[in-house]
Amino acid sequence: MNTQSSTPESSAIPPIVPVVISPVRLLYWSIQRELWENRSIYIAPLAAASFLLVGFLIGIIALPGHRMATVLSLPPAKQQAAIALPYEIAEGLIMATAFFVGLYYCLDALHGERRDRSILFWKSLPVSDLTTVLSKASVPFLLILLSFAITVATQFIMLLLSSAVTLGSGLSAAVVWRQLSLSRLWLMLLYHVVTVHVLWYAPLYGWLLLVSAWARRAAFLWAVLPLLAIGFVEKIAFNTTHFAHWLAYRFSGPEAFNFSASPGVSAEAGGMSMNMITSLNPGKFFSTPGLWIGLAVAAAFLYAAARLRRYRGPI
Amino acid sequence: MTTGATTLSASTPRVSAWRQFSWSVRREIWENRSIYLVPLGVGVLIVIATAINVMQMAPRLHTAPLDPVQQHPAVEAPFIFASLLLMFSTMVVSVFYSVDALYGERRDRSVMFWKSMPVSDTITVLAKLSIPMLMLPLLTFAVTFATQFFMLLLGLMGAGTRLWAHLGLLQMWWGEFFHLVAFHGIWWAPFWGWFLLASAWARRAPLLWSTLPPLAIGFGEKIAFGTSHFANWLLFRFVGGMNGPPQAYPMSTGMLMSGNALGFFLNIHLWTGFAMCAVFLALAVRLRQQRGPV
Repeated sequence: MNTQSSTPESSAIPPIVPVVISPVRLLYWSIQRELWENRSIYIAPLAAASFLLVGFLIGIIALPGHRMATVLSLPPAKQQAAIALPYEIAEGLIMATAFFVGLYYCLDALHGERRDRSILFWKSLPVSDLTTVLSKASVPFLLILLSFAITVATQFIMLLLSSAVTLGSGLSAAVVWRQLSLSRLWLMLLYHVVTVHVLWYAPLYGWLLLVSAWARRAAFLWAVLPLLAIGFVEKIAFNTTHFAHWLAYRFSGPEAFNFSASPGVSAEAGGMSMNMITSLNPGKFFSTPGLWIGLAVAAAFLYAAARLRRYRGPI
Repeated sequence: MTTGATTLSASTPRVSAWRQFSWSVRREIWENRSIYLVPLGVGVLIVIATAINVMQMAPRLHTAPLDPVQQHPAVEAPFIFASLLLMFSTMVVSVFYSVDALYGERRDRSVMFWKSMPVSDTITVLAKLSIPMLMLPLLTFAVTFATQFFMLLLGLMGAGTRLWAHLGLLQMWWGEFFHLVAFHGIWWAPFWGWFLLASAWARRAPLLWSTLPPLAIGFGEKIAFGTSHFANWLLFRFVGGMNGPPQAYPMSTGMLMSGNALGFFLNIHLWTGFAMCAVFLALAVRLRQQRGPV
């Protein structure tokens, strides 16, 4: 019926030649789309950073010289920890924010578009499901790298602010610069971000995307409760905790085992991140079989999510 | 004008507020089947796991009798464990439900339909609040009761009637009931109110809006003044109140035993929590009136 009525028209109109767009370009614009639609990706870490800067400013202005004077009177070993503490808090808060935003984004990525029916529009575009899923999967990694850049900028501004105030109150800022090796902090953070947040957590993000593509309702519950249930059922039925241990390993990363080599030192210095540099061991990390298994599992999850997106319509 | 109004009011049947409320609650349960499916599923899983356990453990229990002092906690532990697991999973459901309650209906545009009904925003918001505050604790208790009953039957089959002597089931059930209703429902009222407010307010990402600001305030205070009053206050709101002082962490088996109902309801912090919850709810109702679909 339909074909008969449309044949005379289509013979009149010259055949439409589809414009070939390179896959890289498609991927690029898909990622742009994600950034436009989910502004929390960059607003949340930026808001956390500005909030921290305001707090830091209040801290050094409201208590002028007072805290700096107490810090300067400390012995050098504690001095280093006391000076580095706000920088580590800043780092922790921004990275934690980015981590939560990434998890939340992944859970919502393929579920939200089905829920608000915009999937019908996005599927009408000549972009394959695999490209879409890949663009969505790359967002948490971009977010982590972005928040690394924001952390570096924030810590740099904090350093400038604190040296300005210290100079203004008549003390020498040299101690701050000597005791605080920001470049070392940044190098460690970059290493941590790339190894743990990007490579080690890849299956986590893949799992969330898969659940997001699969669940009809309550994606959050589907992502969390099965894992919990398996762990607890194993505990009740066999009184073992293999699954829970495995899950903890997937969360803490292989690095945790490196840190445990010197627990006393890190606890003493008041911040494990300052001593993380000694345990920086890329060779060992990349030869961990768990990493490569995790990456393979992540790829499988993404492939399954792309397949599911093809068959699932709006909810 | 007046005649039109009177005919309209005459033709619309009067539905009492209570009836509207109870049907709104039913609507929530119909729309969010995870409210009852999750506790039921977890309960069934626990019973299956216990059955496996009993089949494996039965010979060992007979051959190696512990002395009574050790036996008591060993017998009780799986029951406490089951109730903790059920509580935790319904807590996750509660958080998820209340964050989504006023946001989801805006997102899928069903809010337009629901607003066309002669049900006020206040009743809708109260019905949504009653799910985490009242329905889920009661439902969790019912499922916990049934689960532990089946566990008891399985245990009696496996270990014989000796089990009965070591288990103060009535006391445990009362403790669980009190903990669920008083603590998960009533004491956490400000949290449920806050989640509903975030859900009514956010245009995107209500979960982030509900969790990140408190996190940022806590970190900001730490970095600005080096203190952690806000974090302590939040922790008190979260775990305190069971026995009054904030240092009483109820995350142990002891929490199921302390049932000082009078002291709980005379606690001033409970009522300040209610006041906070009321403010959050009033704001949520206002927002629901003003906001359309996202």
